[in-house]
Amino acid sequence: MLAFLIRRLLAGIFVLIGATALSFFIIRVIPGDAVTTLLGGTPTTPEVEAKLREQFHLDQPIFVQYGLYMQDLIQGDLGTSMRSHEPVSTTIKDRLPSTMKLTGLAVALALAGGTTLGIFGSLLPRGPLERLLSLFQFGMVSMPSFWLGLILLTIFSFHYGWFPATGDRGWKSLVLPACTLAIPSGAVIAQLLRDGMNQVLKEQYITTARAKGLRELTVRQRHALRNALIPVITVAGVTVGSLLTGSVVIETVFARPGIGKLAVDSIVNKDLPVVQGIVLLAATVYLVTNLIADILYAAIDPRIR
Amino acid sequence: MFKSRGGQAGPTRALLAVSFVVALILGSVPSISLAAQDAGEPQSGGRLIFALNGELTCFDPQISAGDSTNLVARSVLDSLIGQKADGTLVPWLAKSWEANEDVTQFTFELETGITFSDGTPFNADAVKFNLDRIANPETGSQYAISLLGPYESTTVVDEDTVQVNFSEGFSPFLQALSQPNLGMLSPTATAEGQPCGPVVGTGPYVFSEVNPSESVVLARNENYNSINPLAAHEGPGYVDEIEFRYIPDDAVRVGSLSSEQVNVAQVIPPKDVQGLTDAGFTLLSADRPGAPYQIFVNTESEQWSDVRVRQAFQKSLDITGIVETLYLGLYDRAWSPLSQPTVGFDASLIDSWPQDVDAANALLDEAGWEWNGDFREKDGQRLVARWQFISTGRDQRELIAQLVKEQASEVGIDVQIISVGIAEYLQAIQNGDYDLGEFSFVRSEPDILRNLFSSSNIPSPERIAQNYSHVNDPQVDAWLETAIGTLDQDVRNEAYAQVQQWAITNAVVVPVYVQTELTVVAPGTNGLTYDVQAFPLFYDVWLEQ
Repeated sequence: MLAFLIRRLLAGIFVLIGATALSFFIIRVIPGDAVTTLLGGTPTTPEVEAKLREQFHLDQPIFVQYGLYMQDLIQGDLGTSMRSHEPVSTTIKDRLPSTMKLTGLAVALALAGGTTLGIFGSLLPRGPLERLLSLFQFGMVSMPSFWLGLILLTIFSFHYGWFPATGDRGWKSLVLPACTLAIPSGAVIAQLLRDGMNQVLKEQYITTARAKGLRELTVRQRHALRNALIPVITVAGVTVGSLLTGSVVIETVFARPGIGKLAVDSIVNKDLPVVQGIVLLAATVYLVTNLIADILYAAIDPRIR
Repeated sequence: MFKSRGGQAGPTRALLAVSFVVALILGSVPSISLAAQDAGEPQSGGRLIFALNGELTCFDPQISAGDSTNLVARSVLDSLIGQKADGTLVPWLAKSWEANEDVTQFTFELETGITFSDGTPFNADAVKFNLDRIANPETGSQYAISLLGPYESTTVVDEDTVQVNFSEGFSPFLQALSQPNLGMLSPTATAEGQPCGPVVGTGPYVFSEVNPSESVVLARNENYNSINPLAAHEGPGYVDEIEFRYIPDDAVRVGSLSSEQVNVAQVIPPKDVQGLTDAGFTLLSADRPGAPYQIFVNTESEQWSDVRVRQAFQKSLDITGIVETLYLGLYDRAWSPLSQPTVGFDASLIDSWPQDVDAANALLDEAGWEWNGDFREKDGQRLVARWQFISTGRDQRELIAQLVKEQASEVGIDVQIISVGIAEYLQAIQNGDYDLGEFSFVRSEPDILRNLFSSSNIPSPERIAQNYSHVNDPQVDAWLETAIGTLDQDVRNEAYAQVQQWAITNAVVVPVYVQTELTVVAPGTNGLTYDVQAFPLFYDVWLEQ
């Protein structure tokens, strides 16, 4: 198990270096220049342009820029935002808690709701009710999140006034965005679990278990659920990562400060140091969640150990 | 230009009428409309919540060029000079000023006894600190530095007198001083603060709370002792606090307002205005001065260097129809590279270039472009207009582009819309890789024409600039030079009128619509007005308790 972890960690470091290098070069190669984007919309002077290029090393060859970036990065310095003149680490630190709260609650809701619905669905006999549930889940999966968000807002904030529409103050402001984020993911998990359960329940070892005279509940919980959960964990792992970056739309609709919105704004405005900081963060999050998923597989399925 | 709906008070309307007449005499049209509901005596207290459509990434208008930065900073910073709704310049922190004959030296007498909210006295040294700071490239000013033009130095004559020196005549300086970008910051607080951090001024409000990417809160400056020529009262402001909440999504901003979670919301889509006013909300509408949203034709591009082709394109379009269809009568169509409320706007251009499809076809025939299938051709080359277009979703500009494409195709011009992000757009502009470009800019000063048409402002890979039409004409340069070198408003207006007429006659631009700020106010919120650039002013605002 330890060797397995060390192997995973080492691979992770290479993935991180690769991700930062890739994002560093890609954002510089795609059309559009950072300083031009910052200054282009207003009358300005050539001196300011030259000064900014120098400050962010953009007057240097690209490989020299990368060297300087890595030099700073190793010392823990992520650089300074071109738009806000704020250290990137501060910018990210300010936005991260909001996104973490949102993602944390959304994942919890999606897992709890998704598993419940999935198990419930697998218990239903074939028939109209089962098909209705399936249709409902399908609808939830396919609903664009900005639309879902607007519907929830219109009903629960604008009409009934139960929850604030925007911002990040207190648990109340968390409910609607977390639900918006959780509903599609929860529906995916529910579908996966139900299909998984239906699949597993046809296996011969389930028949064996039943034949041994085990109670149906024990058969389902001990034998079927464990196996059906494996794909769910994989998806949940990926979901955490994608919720972090996929929170863009939610953060825009609900006007929440967060990493997703910061990422998009920084990419559009070519705020290079911030983009690189976020890529590094996102890569780390993916690595960690995948690692946790790997450990969970091992815990649930002895064959993987 | 008055488009206020909802409870207008009698006396205020009379006042507006008077200022309108005064403005007409002065030769400019005010863009302002007041929301002076007849709600009795102003009351102190409460928190005003204002929904902004954009986020503040930088709080310092001397560094940032952002609209939101200016909007918020206006309540914190005072200026040396104020600009009234009619465009006239009035004393503010400067009691009086004079300029030398060739407009290279300006001397200001300053108000005495005014202090910044951190206790630092406002005096000649503070003025010098601010102007020198902006002019220093190390500060990284993205816009304010260009407002200083050929700035050379500031001389402190005595405690309350400063002299500002330029290497060439620079008359736009006086209007520039009225913008928040040249507002006065406390030298002490600025030296100690972070670049782009919250600023400290002499204004009626101070920064009290910053929630990154979510909101910013201003608190009343209880020791406010400055005067404000744009305001209706003296002494401290009425509301205790002003919260600016960033709500980028239009539907959510409208919903937050209609459910009264905020008191005021800006940038309301035209389609939502009717519903809100029907529900008892008040619309404040103001046309923005400066460069209206316009299409620039690249005169250095091969097919478009022929003035007849450009004129044909201009005449093929029914701009009035496009603007009325899309903006439901809430926005005005533009006629000139300057918008109607701008000082120096040439009113003779109104109705001077209606759609004329026959004339457009005749011009293209004459220029040797012949029909071949759906479009025109010359020497086997199709008549193409590559339009570099910024896909922001702002003001439904995508639909403008579609309608322009459709109408131009009627005369055989193939408009190809290249929809890109802002970064890619600006790169294409700098590389000269376009036939049509687009731009708009807010400033209540006709000198903006220099940015659009001076031969020294042609964009290139080495130069960020906004002469997107690549106009390089000695006569145009001469007019612009004349205007910049004098404070004689008649001479300036005449020169700027020439430039505007030249731009339309030579069809280097196709002005489309006047940017219009649609702000809607919830019942119970009173006293909100706009400044001349259509930014809201909060000092007179009060809430019914």
